[in-house]
Amino acid sequence: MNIIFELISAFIIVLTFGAIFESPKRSLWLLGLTGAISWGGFLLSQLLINQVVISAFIASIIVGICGEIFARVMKLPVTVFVVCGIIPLVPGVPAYDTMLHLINGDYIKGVERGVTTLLIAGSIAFAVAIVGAFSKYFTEIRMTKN
Amino acid sequence: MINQKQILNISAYAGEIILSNGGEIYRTEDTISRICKAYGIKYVNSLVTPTGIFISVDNGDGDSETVVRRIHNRRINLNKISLVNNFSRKLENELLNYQKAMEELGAIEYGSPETNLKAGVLLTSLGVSTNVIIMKESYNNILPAFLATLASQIVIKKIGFLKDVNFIPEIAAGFIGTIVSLIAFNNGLGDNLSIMIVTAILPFVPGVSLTNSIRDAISGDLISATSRGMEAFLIAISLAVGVALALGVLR
Repeated sequence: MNIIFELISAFIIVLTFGAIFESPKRSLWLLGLTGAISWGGFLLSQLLINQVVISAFIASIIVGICGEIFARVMKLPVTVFVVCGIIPLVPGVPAYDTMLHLINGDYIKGVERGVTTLLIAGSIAFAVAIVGAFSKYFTEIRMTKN
Repeated sequence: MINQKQILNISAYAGEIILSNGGEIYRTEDTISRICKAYGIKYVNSLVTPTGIFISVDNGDGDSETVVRRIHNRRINLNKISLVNNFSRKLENELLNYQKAMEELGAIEYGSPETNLKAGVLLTSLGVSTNVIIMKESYNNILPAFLATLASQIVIKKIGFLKDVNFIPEIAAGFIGTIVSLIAFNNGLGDNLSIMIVTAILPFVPGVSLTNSIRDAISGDLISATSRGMEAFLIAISLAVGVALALGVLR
């Protein structure tokens, strides 16, 4: 039951960010779908691996793949989907903890949480980069074939 | 008949719209050269950085034209990017004359009406406050998170001229969101302070800068990759500064 609520919330939050960044209106439903699918991937990999960094990586790869597919279907830029899709994965709570520990002078804990934050952010960035590079590679192959 | 200067103007205007609404560098360069090629210009060179566009076109007879456009303020509007993208693709099939093309681009830049402020802010805050559910916190945090998000959104909309100063909106948003969350927390609304604050500052997370910086880095635009990454980092720092200020004042 909780999982269903979480998927619905992921749908709503990604759709909301689509509205904040003023995405094209016809892309909003697919945006929400991207969010829900990637959050499903995140939950599944959490269940199997139980490792936040790797789960964020897998979920971002799913966001990238969904973005590439939907962008080609709807004839829209890929950025529209990727920008909003990665929002639920952003390490907000670890970043906040880092700051709180550093303010309180608890440097060891602060650095610990800070490394977690950086690892999650880095894995998201790396996943987006991998998917982008792969899509470029495949379009170039298709261009040389024609 | 359309001359070189006018073609240059059309492509520079299109590039300006894409760049000032949060598009990537390679998309801007691609659009510029696509438009110029559609009008039959042989050699197009464009250098785009996040703060400016430089284009030089040459028709092969030694007669070249150059234009420089400076980009001052950057907003985020993905709709305009996709509209200009479609415009440039349409131009390849059907050439427009100068007046018509500039009119269409002007309609893209000024056409879309402002969304209704009150309803937009309310729905945005409701949507963002579902972050509490995603982060697996208890549901009675939703109401204070909603209030904090609403407060920071309203302050940002009403802040006036300060909105155009870099990094001030983020500091203000972090400050207001944290103060409202603290008040709610001290009055017994909700049981987890961190999730409320994180939810309140979530709309200001530099997702676009981060994504664009990565995509620029892949396509080899190292200048804009580093500068956009720096922008994302500074936005994150200024959010943290705003939150820290409020925590320091009220604790």
